[in-house]
Formats: sequence, C-alpha cells, structure tokens
Amino acid sequence: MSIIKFILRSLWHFKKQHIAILVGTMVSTAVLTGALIIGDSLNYSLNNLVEKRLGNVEYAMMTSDRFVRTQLADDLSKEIGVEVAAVLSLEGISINPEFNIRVNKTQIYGIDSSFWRLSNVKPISLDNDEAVISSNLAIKLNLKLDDILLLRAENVGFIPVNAPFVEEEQSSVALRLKVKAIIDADKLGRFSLKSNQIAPYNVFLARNYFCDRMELNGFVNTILVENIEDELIGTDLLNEKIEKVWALEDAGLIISKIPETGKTEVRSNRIFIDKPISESLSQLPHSNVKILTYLVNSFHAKGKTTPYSFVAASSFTFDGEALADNDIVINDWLAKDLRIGVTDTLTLYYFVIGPLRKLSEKSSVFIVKDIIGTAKNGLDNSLMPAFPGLADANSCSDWETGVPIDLERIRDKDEEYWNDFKGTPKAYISILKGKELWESQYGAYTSIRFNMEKSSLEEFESDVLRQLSPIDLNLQFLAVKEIGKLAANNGVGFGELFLSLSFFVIAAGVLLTTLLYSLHVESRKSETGVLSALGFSQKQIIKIRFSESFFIALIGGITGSILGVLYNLGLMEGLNSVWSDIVRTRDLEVFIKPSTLITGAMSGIVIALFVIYLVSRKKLKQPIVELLKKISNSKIKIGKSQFWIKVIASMGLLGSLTMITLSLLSSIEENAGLLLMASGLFLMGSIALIRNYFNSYSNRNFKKPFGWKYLAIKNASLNQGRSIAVIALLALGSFTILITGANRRTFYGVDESNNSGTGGYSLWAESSLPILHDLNADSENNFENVNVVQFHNLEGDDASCLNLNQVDQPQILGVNSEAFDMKGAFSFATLFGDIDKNHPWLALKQSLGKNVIPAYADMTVITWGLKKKVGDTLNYVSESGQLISLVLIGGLNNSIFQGNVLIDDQYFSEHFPTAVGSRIMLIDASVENRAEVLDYLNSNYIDYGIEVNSTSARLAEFNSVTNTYLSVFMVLGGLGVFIGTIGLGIVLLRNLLDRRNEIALLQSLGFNRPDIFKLIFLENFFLLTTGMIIGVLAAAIGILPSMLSPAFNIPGLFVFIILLIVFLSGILWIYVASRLSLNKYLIQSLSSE
Amino acid sequence: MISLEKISKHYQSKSSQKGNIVLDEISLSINKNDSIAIVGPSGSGKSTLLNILGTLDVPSNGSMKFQDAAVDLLDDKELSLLRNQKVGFIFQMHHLLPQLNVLENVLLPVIPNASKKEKKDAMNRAMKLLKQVGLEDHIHKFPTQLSGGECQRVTVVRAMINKPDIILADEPTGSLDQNSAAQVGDLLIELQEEQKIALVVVTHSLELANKMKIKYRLEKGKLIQFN
Repeated sequence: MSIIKFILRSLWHFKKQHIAILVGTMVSTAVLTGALIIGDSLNYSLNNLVEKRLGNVEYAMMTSDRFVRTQLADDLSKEIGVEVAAVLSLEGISINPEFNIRVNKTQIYGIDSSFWRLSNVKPISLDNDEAVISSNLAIKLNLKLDDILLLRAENVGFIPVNAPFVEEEQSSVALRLKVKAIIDADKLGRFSLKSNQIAPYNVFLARNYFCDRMELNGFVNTILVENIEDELIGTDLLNEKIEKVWALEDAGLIISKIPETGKTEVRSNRIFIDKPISESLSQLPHSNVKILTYLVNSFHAKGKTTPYSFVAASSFTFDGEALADNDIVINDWLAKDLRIGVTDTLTLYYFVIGPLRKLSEKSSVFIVKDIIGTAKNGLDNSLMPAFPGLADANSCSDWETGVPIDLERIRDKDEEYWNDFKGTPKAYISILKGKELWESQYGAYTSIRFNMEKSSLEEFESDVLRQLSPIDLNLQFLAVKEIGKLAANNGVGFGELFLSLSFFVIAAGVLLTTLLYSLHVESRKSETGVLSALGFSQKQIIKIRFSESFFIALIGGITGSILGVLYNLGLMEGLNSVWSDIVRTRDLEVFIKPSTLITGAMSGIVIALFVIYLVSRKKLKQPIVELLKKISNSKIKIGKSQFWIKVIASMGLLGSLTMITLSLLSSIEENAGLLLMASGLFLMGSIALIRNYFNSYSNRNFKKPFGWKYLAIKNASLNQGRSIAVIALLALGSFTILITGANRRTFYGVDESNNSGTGGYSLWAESSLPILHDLNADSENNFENVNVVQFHNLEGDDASCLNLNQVDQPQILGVNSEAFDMKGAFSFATLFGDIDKNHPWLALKQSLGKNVIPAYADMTVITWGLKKKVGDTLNYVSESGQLISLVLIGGLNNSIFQGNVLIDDQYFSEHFPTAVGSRIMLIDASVENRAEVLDYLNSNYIDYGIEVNSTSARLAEFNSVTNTYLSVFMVLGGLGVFIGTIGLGIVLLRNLLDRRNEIALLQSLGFNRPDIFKLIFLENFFLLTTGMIIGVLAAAIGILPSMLSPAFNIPGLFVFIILLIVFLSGILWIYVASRLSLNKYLIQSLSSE
Repeated sequence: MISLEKISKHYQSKSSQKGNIVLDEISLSINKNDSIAIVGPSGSGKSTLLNILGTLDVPSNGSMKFQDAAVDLLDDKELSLLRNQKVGFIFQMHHLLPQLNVLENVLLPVIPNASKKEKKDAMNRAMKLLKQVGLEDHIHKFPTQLSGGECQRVTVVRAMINKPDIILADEPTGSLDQNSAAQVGDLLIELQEEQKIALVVVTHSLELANKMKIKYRLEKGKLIQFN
C-alpha cells in the first residue's frame, strides 16, 4: 500500500464527485482561455489588416496639399534599388448614377503599374475611362463589372485654395468611369495609409489620366516605397535620398532670369513663397530683393480714387535709399491720375482675407516719396504674381480675383493701363510695411530677386536646392507599416477586456468548484478523522487531498483550455454579428497561440488548486473528534464573530442610507458615484444581515410556532457558508445584470442643453470635400436663428471608440474658443492645473511656449484611445516641418467630438495654414426649422459629400460601442449566474444525498413525499429569492440617477428576460434536485444506518 | 506508560456559565500489559476520556504524560507520530475506508512513517494477523462486502499493524450482534496478551468489561475502580 495507490483508489471511488469538480474547473478555465484567445485574435486580425491594407508598402510620403513630380519616384527607385510608386490620392464621392446611390468619403487613387508591382499583385491595366473598385464599394453602390461609376474628386491644384486672390473654383471635378475590376483585400482592395479596422471605400484609376483631369500633369501627392526582406531601409536614409534626387519643381519653385535687369528671380507655383523656403533662400550668399505684390482695392488722395491696382512691397532702393514704413513711391501714371506729387498723402484700401474667405477691408496711409516712370527699370509686369484668373485675363472685366470686384468702378483708362502694362504695380512700399499689411499664412513674398553676376543659372539652381531641405516642406517619409503594427499591437486590450467582461462566468466556475469540493471534503470528514487518528499529520493529509485533486485540476485545466477555443468561437461569432458595433468589421479571425492555451490551462489549474488548498486547510482545522463524528464545521458561532457580523450589517445598511441621502443633496455628477457606493454597501450589509438572521435561527431556542418556514430556514442555516455563498452569487449576478442594463449610456439631462455632450447644438455635419466659404453668409441661407460653426480640420487617425487600433495622431479641429466660451458649450471631466472652471475654453488661447499648443479631447479618447492622461502630450509635424506638441490640458465629458483633438483656431491656422475650408460643422438650429435646415444642407451641398445627422444620433453611435460592451457584460453576467444556478442545483443534489438519512427520518415521522419536497423547495427557494431580491434592490439604488433622468432608457425587456432566465433556471434546478433526492429506498437507508 | 494527572473536561453551553463538566480531575496510570475496562452510562464521558488518552481530544485542565513525555508540549507532527507508532484505535463505527480493500485498510497506518523495510515487514505482519483473525481469504474484499463483525476484525488488525504500545477501543462491540461481539472481545484479549500491550476498552457491555483485569466506572466525572 502506498500513498499513490491510496490516491488512485480514492480518485476512482469518488469519481462522480470528482467529475463535478472537474466541470467547475473546466468552466472557469474555458472562459479564461477563451477571453485570452480573443485578445490574441484581435491582435492577429489587426496585424493582418495592416498587411492587407498596405501590402508590401513599408514607407510613405504624403505631401498633403503640395505636389511632387512622378519622376521623383522613379529617381528614388533608381537610387535605392527598390520599387517606388507615385500615387495621386484624393478624397471624393462615388455615385452609381443608375440608382443614384452615393458613397461619401471615397478614397480615389491615381496609380500606375508600379503600385501593383509594389505588393506583388498582378497589375490591372487601366484605360483612361476605367476604374478598379473595392468590393465593399461595389456592394454599397450596387455596382458590377462594366457598370458606370461617377466620381467627384476634390478639386486641388498647386495654389492653395484659400490663398489671397484665388478664385473659389468648383469644389470637385467630375469623372465618369467604367468598372473594370472589383478587388478584395488580398488584391489591395482595402488599401489605406490610416490605422483603422474599418474598410475604406477605394477607387483606383489611371494616374496619368487622373492627374490630367486635375490639371496636375506629372505631379502626385503620395510616394510609396516597398520593403526589402531582411533589411529595412529606414526613414532617415529615404529622407536623405529624397534630398539627393529632388528638384526645384518638387518644392514648387520656378527660377528665371529677368531680361531687363539680368537678375535671377525665384517664384513659387503656390504664388506665395512658403516661409521655410524664404528663410532658407535668405541665407544664400547672394544679395537679394524680396517682393510682395498685392492687389489693392483703391488709392485715395485729394478726393480722387484709382481703383483695383497692384502695389509691390519690396526692399528696392530708390535713389539709393530704402523706403521707410510710411513711404510710398508711385509711378507717373498714378500720379497723373490722382494729381498728386511728392510729399502728398495717399490712402491705400485693401482686402484682408480671413478664415472661410471672410473679407475685411482695411486701409493704410502713406506719404509720396518719389514718382517714377511706369514699367521701367524692371519695375514692370514681371512683378505681378501669376494669379490664375488675373495673369491671363485680357481685360479688367475678365478678372477672377476671388474677391468682389465692382466692375462699374473700372474706367476706360484702367482698361487701357491693363492693356499696356497688365499687372505692373502702380506703387511701391517698404517690404517691412508690406509684410505688416499683407503677410499671410501662405508666405510673406511673391518673389525674391537675386544678383547673380558670378553664377550661372544652373549653378544657382543647385545652390538653391542645396540650401533647402525637403523636411522643411514636410516632404518626408513615414514608416507607415511600422506605425500600423504599433497601433495594432497597442490597440484595445480585448483579452483583458473580455476577461473582465467574463468575470462572472469565471467567478461562477470558481464558486462551483469551491462549493463542490467543499461538499466533497465534508463527505469525507470521517476519513480525514481516521487518517489523523492513524497518525497522518495535517500536512500529510493536506498533501494527500491536494495530490488527489491535482489530477482533477490538471485534467480540468487542460480540457477547459481546449473548451476555451469553443467559447472563443462563440464570442467571435458574437463580435462578427450582434456585437459588431464594438469592432465595426467582420474581418476578425480566430488565432490560437499554443502559449495562450497553456497560459489558460495553467491559470485554471492554479485557481482550482488554490481553492482546493484553502478548503482543505480550513476543513482540517476541526478537532479530530468532530471529524470522526462528522460534526458540521459551521456550528454555532457565539461571541465575537456574531458581533462583527452585526457590525458589518449595521454599517453597511446605515452607510447605504447615508450615501443615498447625501446623493440626493449633491449634483448629478457626484451622486452617481455616491449611489454606486450606496448600492455596494447595501449588498454587503444585506448579506451580513442574512448571515445574522441565519445565526439567530441556529442559536434560537424555540419560541415561535414551529412551521414549514421555520424548519426551512433552520435547514438553510445549517451550512451557513454554503447558503451565504449561493445568496451572494445570485445577488451579485442580479445586481450586475440590472446595473449594466440601466447604465447603457443615456443623457443625464436634456440633450439640447449647452453643457451636455451635444454642446447645445442640434446637428453635426461632415463633408468629404472642404467647404471654403462661410455657410452663415450663404446667400441662399434664409433661415432665422440658425448658426453654423465651421471647423478647420487636419486629417488624422480616428481616435474614437470606433477604432480598435491605438492612435497617436488623431484628427485636429481648430475651434473658435471664444464662441464656445460665450455659449458655455460642453462640460469637462477633468481640467489641468489652475484653469478657470468658468471659462475653460479660453485656456486654449494661452501661450505654453514655442510650438507648444494647449488642446482638449474627450476624456474617453484620452484614456482609452490615446492611452494617455490629462497633462500628456501629442506630437505632430506642422506644415513647415516643425515638431509641435499638443498638450492635453483637459478632458471633455462624453461629447460629439469623440475622436478629435481640439485646439484654438488661431494656433491651427498658424501651424496648418493651408488646411483651409471646413469639413466638419456644428449647426445650432431651433426645433421648428431643424428639418428644413437638414434638407437644405443635404441638397445644396450634396456635391461636397455632406452628411448631416443630429448630434444626439452621433452621441448615440459612440454610446452604441459602450452599450454593446455593457450588453456583452450583461449576457456573460447572465451566463455566469445561470451557471451559478446549475451549481446551486448540483450542490443541492449533493447536499440532499448527504442528508438522505435525515430525509428518511422525516418520512419515518410521517412526512409524505410532497411534504418533504415542499420543505426542500422552500429552503432553497429562500436562498434563490433572497439573493435575487438583494441584487435587484442594490441595483435600484445604483441606478437612481438614471431613473430620475428624463431621458431614462433601460432595455427593460432584455434585462427582465435575463433575470427571468436566471430565476427560472434556479427554480428548475431546485425542482429537479428535490425530485431526484426522493426515492422509495430512503427508509431502507435509514434502517441500514 | 501513560499517566493522567487531574484531567478535567468541560463543554461550554449558553445556559450554564461554568459549562458541563464531563471529566472531573481524573488521575489514572496505565502500564504495559494492563487491560482496562471503563464502563458507565451514556453521556458519562467514557469516549471523551478515551479520546484524551489517544490524543484525539484535548483536556480542559490537567496533564497527560505518555512514556514520560508531556503530551501538551508535543506539536502536531510529534502527536501524529505518537498516534501512528504508539497507539492503536478501534472505533465503534469501524471507519474503514470504502475505497480500500481489507489488506489496504490494514496497511493504511504504515504509510506515514515506515521505511521500505518496515513496509515489507508490515505486509508480512498484516497477512499473519489477518490469518489469525480468520480473514486471510477476504484480503481483496471491500468494506461494503463484509459483515459488521468482519469489519470490526479488520479494524482490530489495523490497530495492531504498527505494534503499538496501547490499544484504545471505543465500544468495539457496540454495533455487533452477540456472537460477533464475543468473537471480537476474545480477539482483543488474545492479541493483547500475545503482543503484551496495554488495552483500554470503553464499553457498556459488562461481559466485555469482565474480561479486563482492571475495571473502572465513570460516574459524575469521576473514575471509580470496581471489581
């Protein structure tokens, strides 16, 4: 006889009990493992999606509103020896004209064969009128091969759309194409440079054709570089190579000689020379003259007016002298027109163009210093920038200047001047004065003229290129694949999330294991006593019990881990269907790592063994004599422990009452927390109260009439630990189900209020193409009491809860801080430092240092999307290639801005000057005209791809993610409680088997079978209903704020059904166990005793 | 060998402040080869006294020495060793483990402390004893396959397997019929004389008590010797 033999014998003899314990271990292990696998699966799926959306693309240069030559890609490819593709990437709208179905936010790519070669995909050759579309777009638009597709691509050009004196052109360019192919993800149908699991809608067309239609012949805005196996090039090397192979055209620069003066002039195809370029050019070792030529509305002097003329601000000298700030040199034509001379005063009137093309007319006074000949000595038409709509105009009446021109003011002599001299400036002021008046975010100069006596043009061009850096123009590569993988790997921690969501199921499994093992050990009490009597020490007995149970835990852990795969499949099925709101994709794949299975198994084993160890140790603390006599461990506890139970009960219930009272006196934000605490205290206090009630029954000397209830409760109080465990599980489970159901996001106030998540605005609008003008000034907008707030935006990754990837550069919105401050719009969860709580929006205007900008974001975005906290920083690169830091100085309460970072519009314009127009708008409209406004916007701005929704609907969409998580929690919680009721049934059955003699005795005393059934039923019904009532009452306390809200919306039916299932399951198991325990042999078992 | 010095045992109850006094300052000496019977009415504390003798229970007052070693100073390991090596228990309810057969139940006490050699010796000893009690053909049977008397005989052998210095039997024949009771009683005496060990039997059977050399009556917590 050996210990191992003893253990094996015991295992076999008590196999039924061990199987029950095995089931408990399997359940908790399966759920744990399943949750971990989900984490692996999501991680794998997101990484997979990175591969699908990028193919072999490792690096990308996105030039935003600049354009570089397609040749640059070829030159780079030769330089580094890898495949490089030049792509024109624009946003647009796609339309099925046959059914008039539209898809806004379509990504349009002009590509050539290098794009396909980059990712080893068989090239699809495209004619000019053909397109390849992604399969999701084909489904959405109901398009098949050879169908016609209409595209409206964002109208872009070399010149920034909001630059001064640039006419606002059509917002989009229409293209009519035939669908040549429909491609899936494996053929780059999901191509995207953004980290998001939501599949984009893509259209691919012939690049040359696309460029031609956009009047960007030979120019693109995206360069893609493939990876090389075993060796990553690195962005540093790529940026170095770009600097080697780029050309002046890539910087948008044109260098030419001015015949009259022999000087060399540098201009930009963007009209205004970007600040980083002008600063770099200033450092060239050649003397230079900087020029800023501007169209002024008029000159006024001595009651006379000369309209619409050009003025050049420059560092020219006149008679060897530079001009002072209030000096003006005019040409003789102007002098004659105004009949003024030297020292006379002259007033200039001019437009300043603000955001959304808001014009304001300003003036400045000058004193005439000199009068010079018209169009002489190089001061001629060459000074006028190539404003489209001006440079090629044949007459003044043909001008398209982007500002209002009153044609009636133009005289014949003005037309003559234009015919003879075109845009020759009529006046000259100092460059400093010119910058003061007319410098914009696009630059300070329209040209720079260099003295180049010693260098040739080619040499000068080389000097210029050497002086410039592509990085200054934000022409640099990003390691997009590495960024994507990082975002995927640091995305939503689904493993941890589902572990916590599955908490109740795991707890149910563990509790089941505990209860069953406890019963098992109880039934072998006398054996334990015998072993002690025979000289086995406590340690040895624990070792035997532990070793025996180790086999069970091991098998349970291994099988549970395998079952976890099935549990995971169930969860994945849920995520790909009814819970798809969480993930917004159906591309999640199951991925099972052996290490995860092992981790799950080990965790399940460890938990089971820990439980077994604790139970064994506790049971062995009884004196040997009691063990031998099978005296229950839960006997009367008098004295100290009863006292403490009473204390806990009193404190819990009184504390709960106090919290409820306090919460009714406090604000809505505070009372939610107080009431949750109150419900927790109520739970604790009630369970302690029940424990005390049991104690009183156990200790009670019989005083009251002896009846069914008395006997039932007396029986329930026999094993208090077990009864309390069952009550606690049911209470916690019911509480969880109800409270998660009620806490599905609702508004705590009216959704129109200014400090709600809608900010008091009723509509949220987004457009695919930027709207350049002020919608409030829209001539067709005749609505009263309607205010449109338009935001500048810099595209970035979606940081809302709809994106599973971690992002570190969310979209930035430029906001009008003063307007929000006046309205008192939105509310804040957290504010950093000493920000004035009454005027939090004004804090966005504060100066935090060079290139450091204060910013706000939704608190949920900060915490979960960005994984940061208030006070942390987000890094971006400005348009001038400078690193800028956005400091999160506060977090908004759940708002419609989720996914965005907000900065003051001034800072936005400073650092992203060419991100003009607005694609995001808030509309404040009264209830009466809301529908009309919606219709108006949807129809008038349809070609901008506008989508208008109510702000409450937008909030609801974000809330849908939270609500879905809560639904998952509810369902899993319900499952956990359901398993708990099964456990209740098994424990009851086991318990009754142990009490067969007692039941037989009752029969011998004249209790018939229905009587005994009634007694057992009552006993356990008491546990079931007590547990559920405590849970429901505690939850009711916790959800008081929601119940008091006018917008209270609990999914009553859903919650009721889950609670009903739990209750009925409990009743069923009680019934089944009770019936099974009654059989005709009971009396015989009594006599054999 | 065993000496009890003013041993008292009382139980707390709600109604009585002092508690129920079961054993009242009992002193007793047990030597090798003594066969002692303790009789008394139900609830008199006979089993309690036996449990204290076997270190299964702890007295409220007084001291006990086992071969000059103060029992209250021994830790769990030492007490277990003492019970395993020096004491053999026979219970009224045989407490045979249902998952083990006769031979395995008999050899169970050998597991905690025996060396390989000792285990081998124990095997031989077990077979010999089982033969002596007439159960050599039943060694592979399980307790549920044996009669009450057979079970009790197995218990006797189990109690003897480690060659204890003393056997403590609590109502060993209490649940047996007359014939079986007589058999077990004779067996106990036979083995006690043969093995030269002390035997303390708690019984309410005068027939069994009369087979012991020394007889005590336990009344009102006091131990009174009688003939």
